Amino acid sequence: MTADSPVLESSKTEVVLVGRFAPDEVHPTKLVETNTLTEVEAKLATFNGLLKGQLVDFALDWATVQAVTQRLVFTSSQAPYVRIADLALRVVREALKAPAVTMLGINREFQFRFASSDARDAFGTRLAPPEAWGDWGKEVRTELTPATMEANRHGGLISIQMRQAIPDDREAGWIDLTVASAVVAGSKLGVLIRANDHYQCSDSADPPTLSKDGHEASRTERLLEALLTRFDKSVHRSDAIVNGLVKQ
Amino acid sequence: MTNLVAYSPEYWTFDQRGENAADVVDAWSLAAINAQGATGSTLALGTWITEPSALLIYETQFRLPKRAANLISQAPDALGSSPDRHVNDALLNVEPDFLLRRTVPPPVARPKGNTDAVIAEWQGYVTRISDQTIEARLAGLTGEGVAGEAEEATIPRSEVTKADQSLLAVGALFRLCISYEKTPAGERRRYSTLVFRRLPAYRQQDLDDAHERTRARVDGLRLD
Repeated sequence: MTADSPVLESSKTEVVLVGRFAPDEVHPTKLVETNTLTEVEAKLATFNGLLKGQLVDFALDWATVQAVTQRLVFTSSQAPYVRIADLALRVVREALKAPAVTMLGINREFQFRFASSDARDAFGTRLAPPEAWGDWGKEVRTELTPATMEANRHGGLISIQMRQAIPDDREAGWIDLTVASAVVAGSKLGVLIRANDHYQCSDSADPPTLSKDGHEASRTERLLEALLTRFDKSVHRSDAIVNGLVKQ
Repeated sequence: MTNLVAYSPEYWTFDQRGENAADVVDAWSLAAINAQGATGSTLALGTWITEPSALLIYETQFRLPKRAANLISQAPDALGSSPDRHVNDALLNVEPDFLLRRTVPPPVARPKGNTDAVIAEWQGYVTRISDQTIEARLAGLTGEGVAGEAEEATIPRSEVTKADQSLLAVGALFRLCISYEKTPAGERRRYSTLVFRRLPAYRQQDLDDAHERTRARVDGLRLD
């Protein structure tokens, strides 16, 4: 690591399940009934939002859970992150009566802080050289100075996204990496990097005979199986990708 | 001047005073407390002591595998020896002035909003349970010198949280992590986390499917 390497200020891991859910069944008291949460965990849970039939949003001391009718989101900034995968699996398999999962995301988010505007600009121009944007890009390049940063008139890279389409470890999906400028730990010299490891089902992997539910149960199980078997690998891969990105 | 008071063999202790004390704390990256001011129940990892009357430097209540121990407590050059040689056997027989209670990590002392970076992570399963300890086999998942390595470890039962006590059984899966915690003030602390996994139970359909797969394999066997 060099002096220009950014400092990792925070990171978190997220499991996102898209589909059809009954948020009320994710209420902490309901999760205790199905042994998904302990009584102590449920008792200490703090609510961020509660709308009957629409939203259940609460925080445990090691994770947050947000449930709406089309999405479940489990987030944690405390290792071992596999706990949110286990929680998501238990919620869907044991607490929800008729869930349908159509997409899965295993996401990592990192907040880095650079030591100087020059160091952050070097990182940004490495990812997207202003010269690649023609004469206008050359004008942007002239704005990349510490003085313009002080004056809140700093140009340069705002955000950029790179995709690996259809990695070979899933039926369908992709890995997106997004890099964006951000205020991190009160510093304007921050960068937010988000890795979205996305899983979907492919028609070609569906059972040959169409089921009454249109393969809903089969697809739900296949995506949950992906969560169970690939969570660790996904987290480690995202970490490796981001490390490779910031430590060149 | 208060002398060291730790006595449990689970702790690696040594007497270190004077100017080098802070360096030792830093080099070992271990927890330190001011023995005179400690109450025995409010230990905080990474406590900084500017004028130590005595330092109690403890490792972790885990008897970690060698690689893990090395990772946590690389012996400082100034000491010129392995941590084990600094265990003060005499202290182990001293009646303590106070008892150390929960040490690694102290979850209630972990302020919300802090951020972590994982240094090493193991997947483990329990192989034997005795009155005081748990024997376990570990597989390194992440961390330099850890990933891909198999280890064996002895962990005090006291490290299993109350919430996880019901999960403690031979064969139970757990994760052991060593992480850095960064406080809002910018301070870095190192701590360990032991968490038993709460996986979904097998459903009858899963068992039926497994039974069916087994039957198919058995039927497919041919004896020549």
